[in-house]
Amino acid sequence: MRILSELFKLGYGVHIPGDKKHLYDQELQWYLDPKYVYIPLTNHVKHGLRSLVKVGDYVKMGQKIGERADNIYAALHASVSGTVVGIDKYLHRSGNYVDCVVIENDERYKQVEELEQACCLESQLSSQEIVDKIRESGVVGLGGSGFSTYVKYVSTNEIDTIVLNGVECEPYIATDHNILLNRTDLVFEGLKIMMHAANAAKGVIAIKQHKKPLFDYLVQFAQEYENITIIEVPDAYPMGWEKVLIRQVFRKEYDRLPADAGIIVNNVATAVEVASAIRGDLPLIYRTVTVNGPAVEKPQIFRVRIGTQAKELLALAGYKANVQQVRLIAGGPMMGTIMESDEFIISKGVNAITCLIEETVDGQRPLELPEEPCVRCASCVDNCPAGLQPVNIMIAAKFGEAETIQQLEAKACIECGLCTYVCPSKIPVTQWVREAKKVMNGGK
Amino acid sequence: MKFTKRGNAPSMTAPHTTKRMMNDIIACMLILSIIAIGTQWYLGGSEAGIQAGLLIVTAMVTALVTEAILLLVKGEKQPLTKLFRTYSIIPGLMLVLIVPVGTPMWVVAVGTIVAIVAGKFVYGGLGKNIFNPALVGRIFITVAFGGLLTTTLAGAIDGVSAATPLTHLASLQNIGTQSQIVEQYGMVNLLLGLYPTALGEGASIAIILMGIYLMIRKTIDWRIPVMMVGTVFLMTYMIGIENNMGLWYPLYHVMTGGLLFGAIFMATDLVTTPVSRSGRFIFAIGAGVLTVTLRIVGGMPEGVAWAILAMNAFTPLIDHFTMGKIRFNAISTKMLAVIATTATVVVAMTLYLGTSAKTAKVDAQAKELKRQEMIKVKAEKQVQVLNQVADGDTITYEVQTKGFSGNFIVYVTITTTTNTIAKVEVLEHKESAGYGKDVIESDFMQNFNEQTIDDVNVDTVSGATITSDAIIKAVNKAISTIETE
Repeated sequence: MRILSELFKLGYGVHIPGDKKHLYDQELQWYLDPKYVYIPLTNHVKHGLRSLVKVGDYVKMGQKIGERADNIYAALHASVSGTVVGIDKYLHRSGNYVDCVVIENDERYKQVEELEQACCLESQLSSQEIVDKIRESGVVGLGGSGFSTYVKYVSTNEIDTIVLNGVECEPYIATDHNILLNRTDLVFEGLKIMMHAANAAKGVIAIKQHKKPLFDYLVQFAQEYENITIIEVPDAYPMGWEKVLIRQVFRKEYDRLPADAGIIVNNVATAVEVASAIRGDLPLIYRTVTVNGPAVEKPQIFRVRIGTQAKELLALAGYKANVQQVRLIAGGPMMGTIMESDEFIISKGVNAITCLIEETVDGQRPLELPEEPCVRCASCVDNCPAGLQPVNIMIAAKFGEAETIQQLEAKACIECGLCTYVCPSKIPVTQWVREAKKVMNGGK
Repeated sequence: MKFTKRGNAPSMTAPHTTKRMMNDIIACMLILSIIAIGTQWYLGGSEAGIQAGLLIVTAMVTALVTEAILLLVKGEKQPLTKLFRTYSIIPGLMLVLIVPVGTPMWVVAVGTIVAIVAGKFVYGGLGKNIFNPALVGRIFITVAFGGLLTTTLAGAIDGVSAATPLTHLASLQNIGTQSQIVEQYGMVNLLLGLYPTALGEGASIAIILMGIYLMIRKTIDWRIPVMMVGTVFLMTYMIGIENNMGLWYPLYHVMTGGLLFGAIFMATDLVTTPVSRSGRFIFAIGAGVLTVTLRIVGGMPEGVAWAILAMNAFTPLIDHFTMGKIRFNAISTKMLAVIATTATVVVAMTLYLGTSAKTAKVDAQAKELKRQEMIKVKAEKQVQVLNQVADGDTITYEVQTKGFSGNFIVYVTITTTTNTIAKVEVLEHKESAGYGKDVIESDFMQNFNEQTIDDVNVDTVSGATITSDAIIKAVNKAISTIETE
């Protein structure tokens, strides 16, 4: 049976060189005084959240200024105090221009009064109260999904383990690493609260292997907590996708949600925000973001207010002198969206800004590689973490065969980009799968 | 700073390229070509070595010229750049490495053209073909000019194709003792590829090393060669056990007949194999079973080529069958069905082939015994006493016997008082010089003198077995005549 599973061993990802070691012992840079903040009225899934303020209003730091009231709740809060000077369209990390509440920072950082009251221990709160607090604080998945966190804790009957995902498998990003090092107490507190909220017996923090100092530090820290273990996982992409992570750590599979396997997976940064919310601190108005990539002169990790414009951080990090044109990405190079301008907003879901060299001063274009015909080598099939057959989906997309695409279950694709990465013929396979999904949905 | 306006994630790609994979294969083919020239030189002298070199150059030139013409016909804008991006040299080199050294150059050229035009171009070029192009070319020339594919050079002294290990094995009905089968070539020679076979198929050790290199570089999927060779090994091992043959038997099957070359370089051809791992599992095991089947009941040295081509034909079907998402959590019923079916086929075919080989061997042995019996009877009829003349103590028999070049007369004189042979003479014969004639004119005839007729002990002369045997038979006939009187 072992031989069989070795023959068919699939879906554990591929090692991708990360180029982020130089960020591991970098100090966190605080960048907290932007002149304006732009709070996008979106939770990434749905645009056009209801604004609770209008132009001219004075808002305090932490004041709720927008929400989504249907189906899944999402709340937006002001990250500075000041006057609302406009609600205009700005570039969002989705690549679209969306309505943002623009607040002029008065630099007095006046807090909402009710938030100033003392905190309480999670043991004094019921699960429901914790979930409500998480919900009201506008905590979303900070690993990049932007999905409202409270949803995972609404129904927790079968949950037995909470996994904190600190794997950070995308190249160039070291945000979670920094949080684990600098905000360790909040990470553990957050995990404890989450375990309490879900009534889960065990807590796990997963990090990549070959990070010995961090691992030792966390193991030592974990000794003060009950039932929390630190687990190392292979340095592979997309190990940070919860499906692959659970496959690796627990040898379990699930169809729809990790909860089917009795597990909730949250990002380590999310745990920090949960801890902050329960302690009665501020709602989610800060986040940590990595600025890195071959085009960056001084790669750094910043702590910023939600709504800061990316160009302010890029001005601090600077570009290398030999760069003529930059491929600017909100997120990592594998799944992030290419931004047409550096004026995009650092919303809750932006964990990194990656700058790749599109063109150097002497005209070289390192990202452009000649595409060759597909030789059906099946690298994409062998490596797909979802177990799909990208090459067949691509062929079906080219012929517009919606039914075949359906049979190939293209909708299970999370667009992790691994098929394009491994393709020796440099075919944009992932893009073809996106096309296939459009074909399947009726050519749109 | 300028920013890229449009583009799609991901923005990173692995350093691995198709070009690198193809160059890996080309490098392996070129190394094998050099080994082939060396091997042929060692086996057949400079002439054979040069002939091998010429064949390889013919294949490479024909492949490039054919592709260039096709590119021009297609109206390609940059034919020269494109020429080295279609990797047509690979089918050319593969084809020449699986033909024997005696193949005429024009046959190799025709095979290469067929490989590239009918094996690749008509399907739409690189990545679109259904069958392995080199195998298409090889099978075409086998069918069209089979008689010309000899393992020895045209105009060589004996002019007959030397037996390859598998034709030798087939001539023994696939069953025999180690000395009958292996010692014909020698174990070391079999390992080193120093025996008559196709140009590039013999160098087992080199091919295995290249295979490991390609597997590490992920140019080929290790599963296909391992499973295909494994299937052949397992099946022939079981067949060997059934027929009282040792471990050398499966090794002989694995090392010879181009199995390693086929499994490592041709069954792993990316374009013509299934894309899913379960599909490749079916493909590789199917090719293994077909190879053994064709060798044992088909008696075809090209079993590997046909097996891979047949599985190529099944590839679209296998792909269709294994289409869809993999469920990691459970072995699906489909997968269980595949494993069960494959196992059943392997076991059933092994039992069938083992038994049928045994039956064939028994039949052949019975036939051979009968044939020898008939020859003996026939030969005895041809030996007869024509005259006998008594002269005092001696009787001289005039015995007709059958030599290499027809009948001749032997005079056998026996002394009756002592029951010994006085002398044996041959007066007229047509036996050829250098063989039978020399025996008759040599001391051989004196060997009979003074031997007691109850116990005549003379050995045949090697190199002239038939003539000396004919004389011995004549003497025995005379003796048996005197004893009956």
